[in-house]
Amino acid sequence: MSATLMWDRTLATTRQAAAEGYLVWVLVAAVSIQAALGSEFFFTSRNLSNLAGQSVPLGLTAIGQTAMILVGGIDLSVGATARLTALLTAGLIDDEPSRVVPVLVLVLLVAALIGVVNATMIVWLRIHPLIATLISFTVLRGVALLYTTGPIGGIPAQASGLVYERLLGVPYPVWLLLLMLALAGVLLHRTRFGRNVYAAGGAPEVARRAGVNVEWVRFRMMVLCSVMAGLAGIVLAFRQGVGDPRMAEGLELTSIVTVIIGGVSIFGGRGKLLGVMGGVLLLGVIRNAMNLQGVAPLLQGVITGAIVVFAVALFTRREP
Amino acid sequence: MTHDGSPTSTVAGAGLPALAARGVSRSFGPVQALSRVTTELRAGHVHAIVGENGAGKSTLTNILGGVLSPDSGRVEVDGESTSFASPAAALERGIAIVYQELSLVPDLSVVDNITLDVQPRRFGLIDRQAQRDWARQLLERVEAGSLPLERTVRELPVARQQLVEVAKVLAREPSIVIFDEPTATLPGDSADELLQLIRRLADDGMAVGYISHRLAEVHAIADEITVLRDGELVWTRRAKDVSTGEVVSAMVGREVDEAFPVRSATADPETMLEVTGVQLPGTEPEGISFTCHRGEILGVAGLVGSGRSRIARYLMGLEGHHGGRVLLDGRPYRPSGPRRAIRRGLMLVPEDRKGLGLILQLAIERNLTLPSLDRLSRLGVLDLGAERRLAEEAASSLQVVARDLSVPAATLSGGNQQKVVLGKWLAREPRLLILDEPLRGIDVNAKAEIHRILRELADGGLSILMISSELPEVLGLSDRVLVMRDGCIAATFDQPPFVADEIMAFAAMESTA
Repeated sequence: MSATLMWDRTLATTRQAAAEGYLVWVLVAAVSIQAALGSEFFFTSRNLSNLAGQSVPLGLTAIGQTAMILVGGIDLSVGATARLTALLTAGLIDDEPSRVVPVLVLVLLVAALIGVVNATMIVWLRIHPLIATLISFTVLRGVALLYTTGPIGGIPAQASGLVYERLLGVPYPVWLLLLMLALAGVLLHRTRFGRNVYAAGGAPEVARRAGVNVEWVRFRMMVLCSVMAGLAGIVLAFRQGVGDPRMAEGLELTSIVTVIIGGVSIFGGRGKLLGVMGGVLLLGVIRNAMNLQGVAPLLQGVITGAIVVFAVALFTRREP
Repeated sequence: MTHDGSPTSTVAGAGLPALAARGVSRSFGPVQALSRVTTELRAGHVHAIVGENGAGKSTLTNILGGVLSPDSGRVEVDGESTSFASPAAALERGIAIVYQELSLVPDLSVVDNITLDVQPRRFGLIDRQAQRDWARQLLERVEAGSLPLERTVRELPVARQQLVEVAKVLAREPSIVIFDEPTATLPGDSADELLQLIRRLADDGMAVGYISHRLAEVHAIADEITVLRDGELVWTRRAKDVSTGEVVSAMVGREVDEAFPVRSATADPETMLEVTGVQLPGTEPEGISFTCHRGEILGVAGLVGSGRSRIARYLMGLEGHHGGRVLLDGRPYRPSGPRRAIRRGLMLVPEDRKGLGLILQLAIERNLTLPSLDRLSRLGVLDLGAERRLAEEAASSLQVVARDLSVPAATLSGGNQQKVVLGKWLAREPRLLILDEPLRGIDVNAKAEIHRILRELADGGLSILMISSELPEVLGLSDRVLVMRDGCIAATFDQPPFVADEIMAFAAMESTA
């Protein structure tokens, strides 16, 4: 066997593993080992739970982005949605414990409304998802700036403390992420709706002819995407304790990247959450390792970008 | 001349072959797609390569065309051993392939498509006039000189597109052309035109490879026939020395009974479907009226564009219409979309298996249960056990040959894919099944098997509306036959035996000038 043939086959096997969502976990392990060698602090329970906690907003958003991409969409407005909900959460609660619950409900409704607008543009008005959500992104960013240009409001200490409290050694937000993962997993793999999602995303016309209400399936997944971004915004506000207009920056790109690294087809209809969560952890570990090893924050973006280019090139599904 | 140990007797011909594969093998993972195959294409000859799906025809074509490299063995051009790095390298040596899936860009014009690979330039810019002249010249060579050059390819009927494709290939001035099932998607008369064209190319001195399922065609134009089976060469012989029966038995490895299954029960006189006065947009106002009985196979014949597929689309609620009335199972039915149709037990196996029948990347079992999910779930939650059982039942009752039901449907052969499409609808228990071209691109064995299955289903009380452009199929399998022309029913035949000439006469009357 010639060297190029061997290389071809290795590459094919690698791509297969990438598409199945396994390869990303190998990378997580590899990067973790590197991080542990670089800093003895990496494998301490404090650092690991910090890492997990930091990954929650991205994890929640990535679940939503997966929902979006599975039905053939893509959402560039998740970052702006998360930011606006974070600002509203902190700004409306404004250190008043009795407002926590009603504000959370209200904020999630706002996120759902954003989702309804996105889905309406994409599904019923047939605007391309990139354009539709870029419009939302721009509008929402403007709304956030109208609302505040500086730090705003506050989360009462009793409530924001929850972020760092643990159950069975695991921080509460991580439990929230796990719960959402479990629910999304059940939805995708145990329900008729989930089957319809893969059908509608994979071949809309075939699904339609099999009696699937393709538009309605896509609509609901798109609303789900925004609600997950809203949930991420709430967690961000609670972590920070205050509303900060710079929060959730770049979340649209990182969430799309994790979905691709997780082996989900950018064309819809294929992919699993397991791989996506690997992608979330991978980005989390890289950032954590860079922090521990004292890489300058401004340089971190450049390094992450470089790694992501290679990862995405390797993981982008080749369509048969 | 040695043949690298291949069990063959090659037809002796004068001089060196233009293109030859010698002892060529190729495997994909554990699958040996081609083993030690030797075959030769000669200038001025049409060499047909036939075999069932999975016999290795495409692999051989791809090796000859530089798309794949062989694991062992070699390819020779004019007697000189060559290895192509890519299709472009093969084209350099004058070898071109016309694929079944057209390689045209649908939204570009005819002229731009034809000259896509080789654009005449002047001062670095495209010389529009030279481009047009040249395209016109090439189209005249394929006897399509009257095609409007500026029309986008998307607007042309498939048969015309195929000619544009051939013109595009000729633009590369090849000396060897391999046609990969070029007539698979063409109606009979267009196919004949294409066959004549291919014959003429050979008569002008080109070496032509011709891959097809349609054995009648093969006999009409080929000088030599090579039969492949399970990746191995069975034999190569002169076309005039073998009968179609011999070719078929070489392909399947046994004598096949080409007879159609006989109906065991007489059709129930009870009416399943009654269509009265439905007019499809753009057709004569007299409209369409017909009935289909319970347990009957109603064949629908007609040329492409006669409205035979539109009837199916109309009944599923995918096509507009004027007026008319439909009774389904004695109750009024107003087509409004697939969901209502399915609920009423009316289901369609579409013409385009890959585009509309299956979700190729999805597991076989997911495809099989897709239309039945509402029956497999309670409050939206699936009964996974019942889902698996239904998939297994459907797959085994149709004898789908697959390694595992969890592999993507794309990995199946054409015949098995068609069984999955059939199976997914049968699992939903249809009362009236519409089949649009049920056997397109399926090999002989699978055809006979699907015919048998359809007959059994009809005997079991299922009504089948079978739209087909393969006349023998319509004649052999139908209990009654409708002939369509220009969006209307041209004739109805209520009793077998059906006569091909009579049916064709009604189908082709006046409309084909």
